[in-house]
Amino acid sequence: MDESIVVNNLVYNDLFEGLNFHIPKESFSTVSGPNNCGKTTLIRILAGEIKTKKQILIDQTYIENYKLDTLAKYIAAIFPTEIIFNSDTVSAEIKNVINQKDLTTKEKKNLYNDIISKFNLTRYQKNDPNGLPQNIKVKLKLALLTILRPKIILLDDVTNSMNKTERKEFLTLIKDIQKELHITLILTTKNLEDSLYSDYLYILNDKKLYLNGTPLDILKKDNVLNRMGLSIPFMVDLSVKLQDYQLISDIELDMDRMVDLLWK
Amino acid sequence: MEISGKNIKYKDFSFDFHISSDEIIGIMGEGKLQLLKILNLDYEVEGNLSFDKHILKESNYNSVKKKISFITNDMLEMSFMKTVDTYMESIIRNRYLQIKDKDKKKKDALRIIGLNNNYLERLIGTLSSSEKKLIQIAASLLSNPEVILLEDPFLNLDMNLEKKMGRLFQKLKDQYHKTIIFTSDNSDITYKYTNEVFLLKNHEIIVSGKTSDIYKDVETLLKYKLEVPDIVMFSYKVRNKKNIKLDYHKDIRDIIKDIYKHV
Repeated sequence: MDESIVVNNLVYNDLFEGLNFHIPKESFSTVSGPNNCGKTTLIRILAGEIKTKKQILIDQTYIENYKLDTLAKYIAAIFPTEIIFNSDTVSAEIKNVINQKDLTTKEKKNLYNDIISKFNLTRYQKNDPNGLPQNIKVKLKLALLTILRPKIILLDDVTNSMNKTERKEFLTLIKDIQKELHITLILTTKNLEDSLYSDYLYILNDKKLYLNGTPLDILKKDNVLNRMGLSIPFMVDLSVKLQDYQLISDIELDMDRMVDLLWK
Repeated sequence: MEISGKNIKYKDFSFDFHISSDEIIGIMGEGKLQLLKILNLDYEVEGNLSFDKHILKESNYNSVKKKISFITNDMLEMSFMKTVDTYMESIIRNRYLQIKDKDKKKKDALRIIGLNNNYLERLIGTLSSSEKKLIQIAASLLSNPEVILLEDPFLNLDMNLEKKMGRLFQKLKDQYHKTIIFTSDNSDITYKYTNEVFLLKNHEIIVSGKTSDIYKDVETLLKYKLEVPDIVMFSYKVRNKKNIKLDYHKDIRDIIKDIYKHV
């Protein structure tokens, strides 16, 4: 499979000592790990904010060989506490970005309406975008990115301040967008439940890549993850422990189905 | 300290409440931070706020305010300081705290939260975000508060740090008789680490009371679309669908044993 990002023997301060991994093109990956494992720093490195030399390949080209404006079109990152918008209203912000595209008036209007409804922003159209709650800011920023269409989108800990319902909604939305627009999407989070929406899970620990694979394969390693200080999603944890008692044979993520499985 | 509010009105808010002393209280939902700030006496509100049965008035405002510490998620105040010691000194100066033996007081505060004396010399820039949070809590103890208010202290903590914070709150309550009141968006946290909860919706207190009672009444939580912890939801579904009296547990190992007993 084609690689979108290759991290090759990355050494950085005290955080990484020879970090190696690659992210397949058009995949949705979650990067997780205990506090201070370097998740955010990794995203800053991949976004080109922190300089590296011959350690990061984006689409087979070393990141330092991209011109800044080309890189900005190629790869975009969202850091939830650092989002700043230029316009006075949400609708103006979206329209300004749409206007950068070569589209007819009708197409622009349709695109605007699509964006507003897909990202559930109808009630915020007249609001000051910089005054919005952080979760809505993240959604708006992501909406703007889907207009600009970078090939890679990096989301740094964006689900952190969301409650369960908001989290589910948001993760379903980004999974849809990732599939629809064929984007390589990377999400960092400390909540491993988020990874159930993604194709791959990478765990950073001890200055290196500690585990990687499909989320369920990694999440089954409850002892290793717990020792690291990571909590396992409830349904996975329950499944793994019930397997130990030989009460079920497979991981079951749906609570109702689990109840029916146990008491037929 | 016992705190109660009668006919409290502030902007969209309108509510009555009672907080017993020496408890750990969680506040969830829309308007949680405003409620925390009302308890910190940041706003002028209508109605009667009482502290230890004394109604808050201009005459006792200062003495009540001294008994309350507020810990925000804004680390700005700290980030301008060089070391933990200078940060604590600035707190003593800014809050006009009268402390006889400042050095001992600072070391005691660190000891209570489980950090050693060496931390006084640590550069603020070298502290992790969770260490900064602990230092904030230590500094808040310098004024001997009876009530400690915290803005989402569990945010950004991994599981080990989360458990540590939970144990610290328990210790502050049990050994030092502090009332701990914090906000959170996560029902798993409030279920595990509080004795009482206030669940808000649209700036109103919808449900409040003992944590163990409230999270057993899943029907009410669902009715108001309030978050239910997964572990509680599972027991609820088993009880409801299969008519099996699975208990409500906090630890997954306990629920596994209970399931094993019942299958």
